[in-house]
Parts: sequence; structure tokens; C-alpha cells
Amino acid sequence: MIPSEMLEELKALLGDRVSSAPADTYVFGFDASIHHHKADAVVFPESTEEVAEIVKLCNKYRVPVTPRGSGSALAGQAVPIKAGISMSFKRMNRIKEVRVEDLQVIVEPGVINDDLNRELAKYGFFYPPSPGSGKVATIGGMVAMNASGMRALKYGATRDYVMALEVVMPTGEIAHFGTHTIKDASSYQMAKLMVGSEGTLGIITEITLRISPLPKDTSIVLAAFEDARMAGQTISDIIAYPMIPASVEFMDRVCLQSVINSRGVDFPLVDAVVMIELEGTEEEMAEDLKKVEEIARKNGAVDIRVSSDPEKMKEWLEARKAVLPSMSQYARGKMFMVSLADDMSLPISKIPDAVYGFHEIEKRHPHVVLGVYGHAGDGNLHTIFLIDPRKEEAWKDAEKMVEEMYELVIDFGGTVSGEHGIGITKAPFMRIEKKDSMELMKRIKRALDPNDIMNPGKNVEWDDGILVDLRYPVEFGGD
Amino acid sequence: MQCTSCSFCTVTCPVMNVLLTDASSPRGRVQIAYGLYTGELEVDESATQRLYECTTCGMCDHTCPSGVHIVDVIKAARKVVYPEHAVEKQRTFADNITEKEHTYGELKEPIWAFTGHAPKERSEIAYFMGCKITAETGHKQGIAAVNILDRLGVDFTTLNEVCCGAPLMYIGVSEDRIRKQMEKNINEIRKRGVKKVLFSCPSCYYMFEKVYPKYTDVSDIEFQHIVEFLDGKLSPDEFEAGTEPITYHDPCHLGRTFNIYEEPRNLIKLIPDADYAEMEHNRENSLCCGAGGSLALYEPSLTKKMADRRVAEAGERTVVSACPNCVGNFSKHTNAMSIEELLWTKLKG
Repeated sequence: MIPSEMLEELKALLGDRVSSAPADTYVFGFDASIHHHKADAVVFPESTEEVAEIVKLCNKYRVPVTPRGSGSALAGQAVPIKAGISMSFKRMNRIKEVRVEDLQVIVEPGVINDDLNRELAKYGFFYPPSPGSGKVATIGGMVAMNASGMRALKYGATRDYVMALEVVMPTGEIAHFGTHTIKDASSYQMAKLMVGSEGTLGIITEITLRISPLPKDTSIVLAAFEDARMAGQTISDIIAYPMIPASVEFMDRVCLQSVINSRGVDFPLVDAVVMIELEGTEEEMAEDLKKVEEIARKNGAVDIRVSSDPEKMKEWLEARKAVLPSMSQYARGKMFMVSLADDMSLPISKIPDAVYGFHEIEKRHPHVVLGVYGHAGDGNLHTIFLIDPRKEEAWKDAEKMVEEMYELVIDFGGTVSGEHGIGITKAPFMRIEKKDSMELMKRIKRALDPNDIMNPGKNVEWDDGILVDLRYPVEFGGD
Repeated sequence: MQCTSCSFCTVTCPVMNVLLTDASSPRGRVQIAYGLYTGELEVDESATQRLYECTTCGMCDHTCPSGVHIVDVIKAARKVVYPEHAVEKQRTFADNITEKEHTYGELKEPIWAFTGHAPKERSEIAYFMGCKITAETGHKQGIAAVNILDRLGVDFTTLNEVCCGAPLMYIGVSEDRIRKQMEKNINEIRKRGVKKVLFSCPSCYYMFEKVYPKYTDVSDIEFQHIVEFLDGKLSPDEFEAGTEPITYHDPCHLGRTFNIYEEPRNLIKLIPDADYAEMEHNRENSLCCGAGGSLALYEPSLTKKMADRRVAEAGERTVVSACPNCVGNFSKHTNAMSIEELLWTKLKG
């Protein structure tokens, strides 16, 4: 519980933009992860100065504060696991300045990715990182997770686009990191450190992003395979050709069935589909299309579809982006999607073996159905678990399976998260992967957040397992 | 559990976009319903407030990639909070319906008095007017509808109708009380040998088409919204040319539930040289007027804010709609009229 004096001070500062009502604090205890923990109060700041004042109060009373964009994080980053304050950025959602001549845009953290791109399109520009949750993901959340999405193969991730940040530090001072210049070699790259820090090192209140001109033309190739490994091989062959498409997406049968059920999209129902997005002039694309088709056929593609029709491409891209939330449509009413081992990144050449390996592991775990999809062109896979979350044995089976999968990922030289971040659910495996740098990272956390108020207990600080504070109606009988 | 908590519904919800809190988003309401179900949340003012801060417009159902029937979850949860936490206006409406058979109390004028159409002993087609038209909005929409049917030579009857029960469902009153309304209406319809019922109100249409069949077999009766019935029965040469600047607002149920988007537009476009333009959000993306789902009873200031957003989209244009509830709500803030009134005033002769 937060002290009543603090609540009074928050009300004096924010008026009706603070709530400790039970329904509100309960709702702000969820994100899209498997975890839930009620907040003590919810606040809705409208300016950097208000954020700083709130953080000063949290520091004064030693109350945790957890920043929140749209609450779509998949590993528990927006769950106030140690209670305290949940800070919503829904009211800091202005696009402050579009400076196309300087290749940048300045935004508040609550701006939604797709809204930003709608605005930038008026100038012929775009912000390339394109998460599947782009309809809802806030720029603040994307920076905090180092989100990327479908175009990272060609364009990179959020970290590559953050030029400058305004951050309220855990002790309440306002700091400006980075520059508004394309080049910056001035001392430590603090802005880059903040990217992916998941609200554990400070609260981002203003973001300057680099922007890119919109591509001239695009086309999409859908190549269908009855052998998922050959789909993976096709991806490696395309990259090695050499060719760097805008995106190369992979979906296995479970994911295809789910999204067909959910959206009625005309994807072929096969073992795996690879969706390749090409950009360039008409001539460039004609040449690339020919080569992609040739590689896909060589690897046994059973169906190849090509479209340059904007409506058809939008339908395919939106269906691909809807894979994750559509997963509960696969075995409706019996199995449900839970976010476990949702994200991993591998050397691109390891994709075929990883996909095969994950499904081999799945065979040993009867309570789990596994869906595999992702941005395979840049080595980033997503795996989705379907289980009956009311059953203890399903969770235990899934937990074991997660361990085996991440062991494989680390053996392949991969990392436990490519873009969804660590939060709670992946922290135990990050401890294994980064065993020789964990203590150093903890020192950074302690140096910047001496009172441990900033989204505490997450990421480098999480020292428990994954089946903790679950949001599902299941009870564990103990070992 | 079907809800993956993806939050896709939060950005399309017109209430969330006004209140800017996750607690008043579709996902938030589903989570509150879940908390009430598991006992993690108690039935209190805060849960009640968030559950009633919703127009049940169905945008969330339309958006949800997981196929969650979010509006059904909200309606079910309202039944839990209603007994202890309903506001006085909600109780008044519920009592009016069960004690006086109509949402706004006893009819000041019987339907035949302002339409000239007394219920016939037998007729294959009936026109069901709905409480909003019979009692509150000056009857203009109903009169226009009846006049158009007369002009087309349709042999129809009005009914000794009672409230369809929609307000009871939205407020969260027990199903028993809805069933009583249904029985009275269906008995009245069967008594007159009616095979097809026409509606001006999309909510009444929704109750007959989607809710009543859950309680009883009504497969021998066809239900249809009047715009669907009229589409194709009129021609441009019957209309005077030109209109004031107008736009069309898609009522939530008529659009997202029944996919009736083009029929009203076809009718409007029959008017030669109609000064017509779409609003930014139209068809399946149309924004709720703010009056649905009993929100106007619970939190009228929120209804007004939602109407203001929609009116801003309409600009100087008169808002035409095919729902008496939407027209009544918009009329408080801008020029608005029903599609029946528009057609009737532009028909020659």
C-alpha cells in the first residue's frame, strides 16, 4: 500500500488524473503477459514536469513506479509486480515536431506507432520499425523494449532510430541524452543504454526518432512449403544470394490455421509459408521477384503467390500481424494462447534447425501445442504456446518445454529475446545467457536507481522462475 | 481466457478514446468481469462505473482477433452489478418497462392517433415503431415511415406494441423480465397473422432477430429493418432534386451487427444532386453516437463528449441516420434527422 500522505500529494498534483479505485488498480495490473499484480494507484501525467514530480514522490516514499504505454508487453514489463504506481502515458500522445529536412520527428511516449506513420506519410516519410502490434504499440513502449518487427532485416530496430531522449531519472531529475544530429560521438551513448531498459533505468518522456523516405514500390511473394525446414532453407538462400528484402516472415501450420480462422485470409494451409516483402523500382523488383521464385521452387515450394496490389498486400500484412492475438482461435474453447518463450533471436542460418528443433521438443510435451512464426529473415522467431491454462500439469509441461527451447537457442548462439524484451518471463533464461555480464548490469541499475523504485524486480533483478503471479485461474499443489 | 490481452480493442473503442484509461477500455471491462468472476474484485462502485461506461457499440467485437464476444461479457457482468449499484435513472427505465410497458412510461398518445393507422385485425406485414419514436422524438420518424409505406401501397398494420426489452438487457436486468416483453410482442404479432415485421429502430430489430430466438422459436416470422425493405422500391424520378449538406451516420447495430451499410446510402443517393459526403469514420469503422447501451442513463456527460466527436466529423452537415436513438442524441447537439424524414420530405407530391 502506498502511504495516504503520498496519495494526497498525488491528488494535489494531478487532480482526478490519479486513481486508487479497486477496478482501476486491478486492470492496470495486467499487460499481455501471463502475469498479473495489482497496482496501488494509477496516474496519468500530461507533461515531463508532472512525471518528474511523481517520480520525486515515489523516491521520497520509496514507492515503486511502473511506466505503461498500451499495456501490450508480452513478458510482464508493464505489470507492477511490486505494486506501487502504474504510470499511464495515454495523455502524453502528441507528435510535437516533424522535421523532415533534418530526417527526424519528435514525439511524446504515448504516440502510437501506426498513428505516427499516418502522419509521416503526409510528408513522404515513415518510421521503419514495424511491430505486429503497431496498431497499439506506443513509441515509448517500443523504445523501452527496443521493439522492431517485420522490417528489421533491411531497416534495423528501434535502437537504430533513436537520436535523442528526454528521460526522468529515478531520482526525479530530467536528463537529455543523445543529439538532434545524424552523427554523434559525444561521450557515452546514454540514449542507446535507455533503449531496451524496460523502464528500469528511467522514464522516457520525449523521443526524437530518425525517419526514412517511404519506399517507391513494394511487392509481396507468398511461398508455401510442405516441409518447414525447406521454408527456413529458402530464407537462408535468399539472404545468401545476396538479397536483403524489406521483410521475410515465416508462419507454420498452427499459425496459418489460426489466422485463417480469425480473419478468413486466403493463406495456403501448408506446413509453412514464407512471406517476402520486396521494395524498389519496378525493374529492381522484377529481377528480385524472379530470383525469389526460383529459389523457392528449388526448395520445393508447392504454391507461390505474388501481389503488388495495395489492398491484397495490406490484407496479407495485417493477417501476418494478427497471428499472435489470433492464436486462441486455433483450438477455440479448449486451448488458449499464453505468452511463454514468445521471442528469440538466432543466427539467420540456424532458422531451419531451430524450427525443426522446437517441434521436436514439442513432441515430448503432450500438454502443449506450439506455433512458430516470426521475422525469420533477421533470425527473430516467435513461438506461441497453446495450453489449457486452468491445468497445473499444462503449466509444468510448458515450463519444462521453455527451458529446453531456450537451451537450444543459447546452444545455437542465439539470444532469449530479439524484440519483446525480458521483463519477468524471460529473465531466468537471460541469467543463463548473460551470466558473465549480469553483475555489471546490476551495478548500472543500482547506480542509476539507488532506491530501487523504477519498475523494480524485473529484467536483471528478477531472481525467481516464470510461473509466478499468473493471471490465470490455476493453483499449484507444490512439488 | 480467450482474451489474449493484446489490447487491439483499446485503440478502436470510442469510450477509451475519450476517457484515455485502460480501465475503461473493452479489455479493461473484460478483465473486471474476470475479476468479479474469480472473486479477486468485489462488486463496488468502481467496477460498476467501468462496466456501465460502455455503449455496447460492438467496435471491440469487430476488432478482436481472438474472437472474444466482448459485448456479451460486459452485458453478463452488468447483471452482477445492477442489483446493488444501478443508478436511479436506470431503475426508473426498468420499472417503466415492466410496470407501464414502455421505456418512457405510459404513451401520451396511442400510435394510431399520430399515424392514422390503428392496428388491423389481420395483416401479413407489421411496422414496429419502438419506444423512442412512440414517446420521445415527436413521432416524426414514425410518421414519415408510415407515410412512405402508404405511398408504396404496402398493406401493413401497426401494433399494440410494448418495449422490446433492449434497455433491460443493456442495463443488466434479469432475463425473466426481458422474456415477458418478448411474449407480449410475439403474441401480438401472431394474433394479427403477421409474417414480416419492419423496424425503424436497430435495437428493436436486434432484439427480435438476435435475442428473442434464444428464448423461443420465431422462425415463422421475418424481421427486417425498414431501410432494407425500402431499398430498391423507390426511384430517383420520384424525388425532388437537391438537399442541404448531409452525411450519414451508421448506427452500431444496423452496421456492425447486420452489415447494413449500403442500403441507406442507396436510398439517400436516389435524391438527385444530393449534397452528400461521408464522415471520416464510416461503415464498419463508424463511431458510436454515445447514446447506446444505456450509457446516456448512467453517464450523460460521456454521451455528450462522444456525440461531440462525431458532430465534429460531420462539421456543418446535417446528420442523417437510421436509428431514432442516434437521431435523438445528435439532435441535442446539431441538425439531425432520420432517413425516413429525409426521404419523405424529398418525395414529390
